[in-house]
Amino acid sequence: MTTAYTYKPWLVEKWKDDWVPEEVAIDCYATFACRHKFCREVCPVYQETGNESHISYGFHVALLSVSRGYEKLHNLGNTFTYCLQCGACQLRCPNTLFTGDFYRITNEHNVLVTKTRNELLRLGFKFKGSDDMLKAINQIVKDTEEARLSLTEWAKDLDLPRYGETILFTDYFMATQMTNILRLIAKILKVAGIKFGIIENPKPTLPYELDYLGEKGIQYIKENIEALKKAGAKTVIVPDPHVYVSLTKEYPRLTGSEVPFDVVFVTDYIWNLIKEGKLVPKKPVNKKVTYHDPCMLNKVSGIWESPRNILKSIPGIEFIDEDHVTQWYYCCGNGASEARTFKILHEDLSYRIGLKRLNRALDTGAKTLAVACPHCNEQFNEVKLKSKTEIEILDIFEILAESLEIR
Amino acid sequence: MAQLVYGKVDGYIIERLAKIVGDANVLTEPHHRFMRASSAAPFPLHKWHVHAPDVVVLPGSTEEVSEILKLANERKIPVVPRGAGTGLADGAVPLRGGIVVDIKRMNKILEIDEENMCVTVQTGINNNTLDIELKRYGYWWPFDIASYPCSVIGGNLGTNAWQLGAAFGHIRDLVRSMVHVLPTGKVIKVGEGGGRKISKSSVGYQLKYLFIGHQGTLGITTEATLEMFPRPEVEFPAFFGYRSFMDAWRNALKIAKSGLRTLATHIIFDEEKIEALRRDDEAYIPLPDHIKSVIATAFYGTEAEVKGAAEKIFEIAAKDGGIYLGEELSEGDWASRHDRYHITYHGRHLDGQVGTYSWHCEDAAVNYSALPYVVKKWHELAKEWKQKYDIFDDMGGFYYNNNSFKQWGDYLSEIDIFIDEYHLTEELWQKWLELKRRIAEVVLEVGGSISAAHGGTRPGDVELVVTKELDPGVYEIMKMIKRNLDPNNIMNPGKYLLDSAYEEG
Amino acid sequence: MEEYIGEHVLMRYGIYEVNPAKMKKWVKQQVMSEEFRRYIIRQRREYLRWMHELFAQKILKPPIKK
Repeated sequence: MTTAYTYKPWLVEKWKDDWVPEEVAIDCYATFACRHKFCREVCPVYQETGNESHISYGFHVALLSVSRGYEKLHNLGNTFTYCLQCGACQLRCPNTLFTGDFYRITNEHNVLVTKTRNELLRLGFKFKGSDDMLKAINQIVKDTEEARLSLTEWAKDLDLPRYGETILFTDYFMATQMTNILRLIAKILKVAGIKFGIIENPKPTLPYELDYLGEKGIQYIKENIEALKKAGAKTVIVPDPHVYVSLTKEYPRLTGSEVPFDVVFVTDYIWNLIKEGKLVPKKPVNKKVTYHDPCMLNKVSGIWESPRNILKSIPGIEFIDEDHVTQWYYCCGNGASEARTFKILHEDLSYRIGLKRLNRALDTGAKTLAVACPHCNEQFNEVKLKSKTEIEILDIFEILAESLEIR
Repeated sequence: MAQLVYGKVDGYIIERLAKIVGDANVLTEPHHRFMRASSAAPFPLHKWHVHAPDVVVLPGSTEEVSEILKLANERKIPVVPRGAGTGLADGAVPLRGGIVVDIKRMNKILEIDEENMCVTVQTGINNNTLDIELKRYGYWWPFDIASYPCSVIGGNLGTNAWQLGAAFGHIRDLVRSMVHVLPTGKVIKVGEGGGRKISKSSVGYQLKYLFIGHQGTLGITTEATLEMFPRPEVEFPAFFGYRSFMDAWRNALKIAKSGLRTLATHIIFDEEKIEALRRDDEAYIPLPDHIKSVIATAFYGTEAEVKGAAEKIFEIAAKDGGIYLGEELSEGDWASRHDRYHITYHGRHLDGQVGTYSWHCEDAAVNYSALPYVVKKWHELAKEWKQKYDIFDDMGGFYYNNNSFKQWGDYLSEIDIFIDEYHLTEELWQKWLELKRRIAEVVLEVGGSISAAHGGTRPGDVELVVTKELDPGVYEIMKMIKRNLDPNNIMNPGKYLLDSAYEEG
Repeated sequence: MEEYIGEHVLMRYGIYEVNPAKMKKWVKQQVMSEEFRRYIIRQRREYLRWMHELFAQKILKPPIKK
């Protein structure tokens, strides 16, 4: 089954401190030509800094100024740290939203930011926080190479085979940081009678950041695909929106091929089970809940219905919805990086963006904020703790599990 | 002697600015400055550096703006205010370097008054963002400017901006009072008399209107108290197709005189516009071949009122053969009105290949009676230039009702000339300016105004504005005001050729 | 199956697109899956709905022909 992806093939070409390829300059001009900056108000970073240099228009025009000889690439590093890669701008850009399908051209801001950071590093130009950013990513590589942590410890008592036509797939993050949610999801699938397996040693998927690993990144892609093939996967259920973006979009971008199996996000899969009657949420869960659309799921992948449907199917829930288009303006503050890059580069901004989101949730009158992403989950809990905000953060599967009486 | 000798933005100035706004809000790197050099009007990208400011500052308060202007006067440094930079008259384009004051950090809503139906904001707030916030309380900011998702109140005030729903007024009809920083740095509160929330007063001179549309030459507005509307119950967009522009034009007068109060706007799409949309419209809904021109109407109000008006408009349209183009097109096109028409890939080179063009629209104010003549002449010019120089494309025209609260009188007349700035040379740029002049001259021929909404400050326009359009006595007064309010000529100097205000004799 | 609407627009895969022959010289096209094009269309539809709702509580339907 085909996945939703696009990429600019000319972005693999190497840049110089004073030169970018013509196709890149044309892309940047196409953004400059717009002049309107539809990308501005939706940008969670701009909402905090008020600095137009931090939006998609700013980044594209900065590169245009390099191509025209007025600026050098190495001067752009610090400015290019001001991006969550949340996907709001590239979606909102009329070049994507209004004509992307007609001309087969879009604003690919997230990848442009990765490419620029990567070129800077390759050319030896550091920027504020780049050392820490690479340190964090390299630690993930180190942990992976040394197999320091067992990535299936979370499933040790769940009796899950390492093969199957249906595989529940995640990488190091959820397998070590959000094991409670992962276990609940596995148990919910079992209760529904689904036969599925897991992968023993999944490699990090690192959406928008595999580029920094060069050959190693490509190797990780190949190893994940091989492992899934070997396990017999036809359907791969993914519980982490970041991993979902990697499999459906980044893997085709970096290898030129789609993955050879169906990739389904966990809420789509489980909502289907509820629709088919295989799961019947019975026990009332009396909470006033609002739902946070994860950026990787809503903006980047276009999935917003199944999480809401799941919440609405649970008896006792008073669900207060915020339109998923309004949520293009929101972000938990973590951004696209699994390695927490934005938090490393701009700890205070990350905090403020997350706090703003929590306050918006409270403004709706809700007492519980439901999440569908382990990174949002981690970030909101950090922000909640630091700010002492009185709000409950729950994964939608924690709520569903309670209604299904699964512990 | 015209003030043309300015101070330099050196390390000392940067230090002083940093003391006023904080280090993080003083931007000196080239990319920060170059991305704040252009407006949305055609830009001479081949000589980008001519318009790059020397430094950009992001103030956070009225006091900071005042301090910046005091410093600028002290050292004779040009100051250019910048909102979203989506203006189309180069108001925000520096002519002499200097300091760009980017007001968008000042973007808070200060007060919502539900009893007196007004909202007070800092002027760096965007129209769409303001409306999203007001919607939470059940209210509406009905300023449906073409750059609605992008422009900010400060820029709207600076350009005397215009909106699609002229039935609700333009920005000048929607602001009660402002906090304004004069070019000297002095802060004034100006509105209707002395009442911040008063809508109309006969006390004192009508100075509020002086500070709307000055293109940043008379200071920087930092706060505004705006009208706040109740949310309309219903919206009703209806697009009608006609066999010719003349049929549509005839029908437009009937629509204008219809007396339908819930009609927000009516817009004529000329034959070239329909042709351009038809050739490769990305939201492609095939129009029947005999449709050559379109009138778009949109209604807002209570359901009871709009229902009656909706039936009437169908009757009126039919009088000149207007055919309803359907819900999908009407609703879809109306909702995409801010986003769709300027997209860069719409432009085509002579070889038919898709190019990257920057949309530009002229925005003359033309009386109804003169429209057919202007439309004909404009397209002749655009065709001629496109054939001669492959960097232009004629994407047709829109003609929108211009008059506040009424549908008749004159039209904001827009011809969409796309320009490929990426491939500009000085010679081609001069050819563009020539086209600009010729377009403006047609408007003056018929007693119109060169700009309904954008401003008259652009090269190609401004010479004609000053020598041919404005009454000499009027321009004299402009000069008097300018030199008295801005004795050092630091406030957006050069705009409207107002250096002449400082010449002796 | 391709269907040309004029010389400029065609329909393949059920969605209109510009004739790719026009995207050879000045601007190049990206690699794009059909699924991605459908994603854009869905998001656009949702944005238009959101824009309508921002302005008014509901859109009136056209009067029924007598």
